[in-house]
Amino acid sequence: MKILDWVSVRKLESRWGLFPSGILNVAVMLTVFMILWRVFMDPRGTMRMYTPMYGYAYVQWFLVSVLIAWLVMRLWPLQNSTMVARLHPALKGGIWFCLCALFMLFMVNVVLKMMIGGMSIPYFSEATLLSLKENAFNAREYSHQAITMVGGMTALIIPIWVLHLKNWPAREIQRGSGYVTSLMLIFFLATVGFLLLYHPHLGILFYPWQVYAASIPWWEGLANTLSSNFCLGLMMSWTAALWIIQVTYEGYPFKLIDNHPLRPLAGILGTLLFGLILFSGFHFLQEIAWGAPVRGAKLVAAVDWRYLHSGETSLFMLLISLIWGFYFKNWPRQYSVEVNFLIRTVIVGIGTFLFYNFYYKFNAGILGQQPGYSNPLQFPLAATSLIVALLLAHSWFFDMWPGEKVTNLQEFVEEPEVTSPAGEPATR
Amino acid sequence: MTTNITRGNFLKGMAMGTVAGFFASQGISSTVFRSYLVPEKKRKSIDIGELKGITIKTISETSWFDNYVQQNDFKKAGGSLVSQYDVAFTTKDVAAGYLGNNAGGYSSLIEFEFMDGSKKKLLLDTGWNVDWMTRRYQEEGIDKMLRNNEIDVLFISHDHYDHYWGIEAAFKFKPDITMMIPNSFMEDSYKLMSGGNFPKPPIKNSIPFKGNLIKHDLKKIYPLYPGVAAVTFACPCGRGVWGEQVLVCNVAGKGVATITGCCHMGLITLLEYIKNNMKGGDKVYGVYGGLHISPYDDWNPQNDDLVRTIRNYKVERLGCNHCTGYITVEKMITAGVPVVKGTARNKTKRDIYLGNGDTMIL
Repeated sequence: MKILDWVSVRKLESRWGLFPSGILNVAVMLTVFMILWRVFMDPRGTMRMYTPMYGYAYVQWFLVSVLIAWLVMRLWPLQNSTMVARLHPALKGGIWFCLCALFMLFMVNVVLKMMIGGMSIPYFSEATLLSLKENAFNAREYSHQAITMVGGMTALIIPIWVLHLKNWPAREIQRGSGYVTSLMLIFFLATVGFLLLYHPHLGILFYPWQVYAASIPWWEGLANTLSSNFCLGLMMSWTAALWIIQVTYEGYPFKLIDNHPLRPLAGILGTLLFGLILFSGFHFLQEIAWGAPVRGAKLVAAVDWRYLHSGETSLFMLLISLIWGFYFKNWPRQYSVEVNFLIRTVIVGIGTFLFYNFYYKFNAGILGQQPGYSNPLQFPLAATSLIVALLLAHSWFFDMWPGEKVTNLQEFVEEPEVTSPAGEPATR
Repeated sequence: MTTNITRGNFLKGMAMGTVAGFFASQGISSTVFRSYLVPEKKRKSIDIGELKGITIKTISETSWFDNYVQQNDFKKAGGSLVSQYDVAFTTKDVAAGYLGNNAGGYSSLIEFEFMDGSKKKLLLDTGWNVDWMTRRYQEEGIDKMLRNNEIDVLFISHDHYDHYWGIEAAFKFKPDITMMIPNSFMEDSYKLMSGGNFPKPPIKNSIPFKGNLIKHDLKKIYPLYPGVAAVTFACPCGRGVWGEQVLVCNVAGKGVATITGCCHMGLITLLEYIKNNMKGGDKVYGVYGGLHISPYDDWNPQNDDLVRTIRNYKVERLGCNHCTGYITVEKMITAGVPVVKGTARNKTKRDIYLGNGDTMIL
C-alpha cells in the first residue's frame, strides 16, 4: 500500500502534553545538533569543517535534501506503508536522514564539484581552482561559497514551487516521473536565479575581474555595493517570509484564494513583499543601533554586511517561527484567527529578540566561533540552517519522536492508497 | 478554508497589499521617521596635540614567505576560526622561506619628532620567526637601540602570530622594555609573554618579560605623546584573536596620520572614527601599515567597494604593506590612490609598496 502524503494524513499527539513534549523534542533536536556540530563543524572539534564555507556548503545542501525529500518527492520512492507507517520512527527517520546525507554528498561532490566544477564552471570545484594555481584555502572557500549559494537559491525556490505552484506537475503525476520533473524544474529555476543574483559576484571574486564570463554586478547602483550580499540578504528574507506565512499564519491570506488562477502570482509577489518588509525593517533597525553604513567599511559598518545581516535576522525569526509551529503546535489555536495570529506574532517577535541576543552572547563558547556581531570569517546561518534541517527532519522523517506519537497508524494497514485530503502540501 | 474570489476583489486585494507593504517596508524608514529614530552623529573633537613629523622604518612586513604554504596550513588546521595556537605551521623545507621556515613577521620602527625638536622611538610589533626577526633587528640596528634604551615603548598592535610571536627577538635585547598591549590578549599569549612553549605551531619564548606592561582597554583613546595617541578597537581578527590598537598622529600643518599593524577594524572604519572623534580628523595626511584587505591575495567584491571609496578620503600619502596584499595595491594604483612605492629588497617580493628596510617620512 502506498501512502502518498504521509505528513498530511498522519495524526500526531503529544505524549506528555503540549509543552512538556515540545520542550523535550526541542532538547532532543538540539542535542543532536550539538553532537553533529561538535563532530563535523566546530573549529575545536573533530573534523573542523566550519572553515567556514566548506562545512556551510554541506549543511546548506543537507537542508535542501530534507526539503526535497518531503516537500518535492513526498518520500518517494519509499512510500509503501511498511516503510512509512510501520517502522519505528527512530529507524525510519534514521534511514531518511542517511538518504538525505547521501543525496547531499551526491549533489555537492558529484554534480556540483565533479560535473559542473570539473567540466564547466571552475569556481565550483576546489580541485579545478587548485589546478589553476589558486591557493589552497581560497580554493576551498571560493568553491564552497558557490556551492552554498546554489543551495541557498534552491532552498528558496522549493517553497515557492511547492506552496504557490502546487509542486507542478508532481501534484497531478504522483509517481516518480512527476516528482523528478518537479525537482528538475526547481533546479532549473534555482540555476537561473543563481546566474542572475550570485554569478556576477563570483565573476569579480577573482583578479582580474572575469568580465568575459560574468557581468559586473547589476545591483551596484541600487545597493551601493558590488557584493551579492544584497541579493543574498533579500533572498533570505523572502525565504523566511514564505515559511513564516505558511507556518505562523497558516498560509493566510493566500489560502483564501486557493483556486484562483492568479494565486501563484499573488503568492509569489505577496511573499516577496513580506520578505521586503522584513529585509528593510531589519536593515532599518541596524541603522538605529549602529548608524548608517559606510561603503568600503568593514564589520558592522559595512554596506554589504548590513544586507546580509537583515537576511540573517529574518532567518532567526524563521527559526523561532518553525520551532513554535512544529514543536508547540502554533499555540494558541483556540481563539479567532486574528487573535491567534496576533499572539503568535508577539511570541515569534519576542522569541526572535531573545534568540538573537542569546546567539550573540554565547555563540563563541557554544559553537567555537568568535564573539561580535559581524565577522567576515563566520556565518550564523551555518548553525541556524543545520537546526532548521534537523527540525524539519524531526517532523517529516521521525514523526516528532519521542515527544509525540502517531495515533492513526491502524488506518494505513489495509487501505489501498491514501492521499492528502485537500491536496495542500502539509508542512507540519 | 479555501474559496474563489472575483477578479475585482483579487486585484483590489493585491493593490492594497502592495500599498500596505510599501508603507510598512519603506514608510518606516522614510525621512520623517529616520530623522527621529536615527539622530545625526554628534562629532567629537578630541585634541591630541600635534607633532612635527614621523619617520617610519619597515623592519619586516613579510609575515610569511609563501602564501600557498601558509594557506595550506590553515586549511589543514580547519580554517579561519581555529585558534592560532592550534595550527601546525610549516617551519621546514619552504624554498621561499627564511632558512626553510615559512614564518617571517611584521615589525616597524616609528620615530616621532616633536615640536621642540626632541624625538622618541617606538617599536611596533615583534614579528613571528625569532631567527628572522633577530636578523632583521640586527640589520636595521634595532638590537643596539634596544640595548641602549633608545626605544621608549614596545607597542603590540594585537596578538596575532605574525605580530607578536617573535617577542623573544625583542626580549633578548631588552627584556624589561615597557610594553603596551590591547587588553584583550588571549590567555596563551600571556603565557608566551612569561616564557611559554607551544610545540604545535611551534612557538616558544625562553626570555620571560620583565618590564612594565600597560594594558589598553578596548574602544578608548590613550594619548601617548604630544600629537600621538593609541586608539583601541573591539574587532574580530581571526584565529581566536580579538581587538587591535593603532597609532593616530596629528602632524602639524599637514593633517592626521594612522599607523597600523593589521587594521582589522577596516581602513574606512578607522578613517571614519578619526573624522568623527578627533580634532583635525577631516584631513588625512598619511596612512601607514598593514590594511588587511587581501592578505593572501584572496579577493572579495567588498574589497572593490573599499578601493572605489578610499579616494573620497583624499589620503595624501598611503604607505601600505603586509596584509594589504598585492592585488589591493595594484587596484589602488589603478584607481589613482597615492601609494608609496618601495624597493623590493630583504625578501620583499615587489616594489609596489613599502617593503623590508624601506622608510616613509611623514
